[in-house]
Amino acid sequence: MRDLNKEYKDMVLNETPDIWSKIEAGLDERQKAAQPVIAAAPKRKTFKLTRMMGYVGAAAAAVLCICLVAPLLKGSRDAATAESNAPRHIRSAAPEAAADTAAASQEMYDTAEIDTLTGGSKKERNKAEAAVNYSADAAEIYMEEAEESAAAAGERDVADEAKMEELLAAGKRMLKLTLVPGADAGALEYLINEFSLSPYDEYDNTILFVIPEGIDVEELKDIIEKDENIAESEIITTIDDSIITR
Amino acid sequence: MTDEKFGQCIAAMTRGDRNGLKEIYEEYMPYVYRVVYGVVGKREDAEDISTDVFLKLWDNAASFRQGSPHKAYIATVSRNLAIDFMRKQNRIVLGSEEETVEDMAGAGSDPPPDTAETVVGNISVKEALDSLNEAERMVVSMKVLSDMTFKEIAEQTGIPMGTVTWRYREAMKRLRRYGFDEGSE
Repeated sequence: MRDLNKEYKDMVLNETPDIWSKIEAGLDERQKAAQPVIAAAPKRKTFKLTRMMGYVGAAAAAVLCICLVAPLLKGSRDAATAESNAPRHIRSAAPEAAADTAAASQEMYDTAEIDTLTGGSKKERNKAEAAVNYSADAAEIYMEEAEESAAAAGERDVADEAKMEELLAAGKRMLKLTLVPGADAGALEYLINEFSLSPYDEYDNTILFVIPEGIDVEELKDIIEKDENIAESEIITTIDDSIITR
Repeated sequence: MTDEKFGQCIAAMTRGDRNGLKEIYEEYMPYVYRVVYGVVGKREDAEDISTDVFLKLWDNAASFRQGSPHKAYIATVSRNLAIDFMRKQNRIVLGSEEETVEDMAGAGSDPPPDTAETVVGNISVKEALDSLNEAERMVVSMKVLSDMTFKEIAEQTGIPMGTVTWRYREAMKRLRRYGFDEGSE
């Protein structure tokens, strides 16, 4: 008798085709299917976001410039008030800067303009000069920050897109707090609870919060001033389509 | 190929190295093809499903448990894909009432096949298998080529075990007329 098992297996073995090329084609298809998800999609998104953030950064810079004009005009009427409203890091920089640039500011800013603003009295003139000098320094700092923001905006992570869209609505007030080195963000818990602040972004030693409607900003500022964990603070209002950027 | 070597190939595959799969292919393609062919019985279908078997090994490389018997793993993947294919094609010949009745009636009463029956010429195994009906051919092929037990065939195909054994016995009766016996393998 013939061996069915052996002859049948041999027959099939002799028929065995070479299908490696088909298998490789299948592997190629799998690779192609996986690639767009990994590479193409995020690239497109980044490009869109980068461009968008560029516009937003420019808008933010414009907003900050507007913010500078208001204190300047207000400062001519009440320099002291303007100073008290300024962020701490600017206030601390102001006296030194004012001394350093006192002479320069005389040349930079037209005396006639100061006279016009103050009505010519010596006391008012001194106040206005101080405000102008302070504002000039503040403007420089703000402009630097605005430029940095615009530059950084182009490099923001795509993951922030959702947050960004949340803040596209006009009129959001943001609180930017920079902690002293070594301070723990947990120390701000009382502040978050007291004023219902919503954390928006965090980087390096800085935290951005959204300030809810109806909060007494002056009271918030007072508490921030007393907090030893906070090195710098800043309140920024978004307008139009602008958002806060790093 | 040892389990250890197979594990190394799988590890290479998880890193995206096709050489791992190529080594398995070169070693086991004849086995995979035989197991698949045993179920589907057609060369073209067996080619397609064998391709799917290796792609499935690639896809599931990460989930393979290192050290487990790899040949049994390959056989299981091959059989399952082949039987799924047959189910989708509605090509599994299920047991009929008539067969079951015949099976029950024949159990224990049929004399052993007469091996002294007239042998019909010197025909090839393929010609001998062609003399079987589809249901008989499938059972013989699954048993011989796919190394499946009657129990496994019954479980995988949903055909009653009695029907499976009866079909096999009938098929072997006919094949003996052509001079074939089960052999020792």
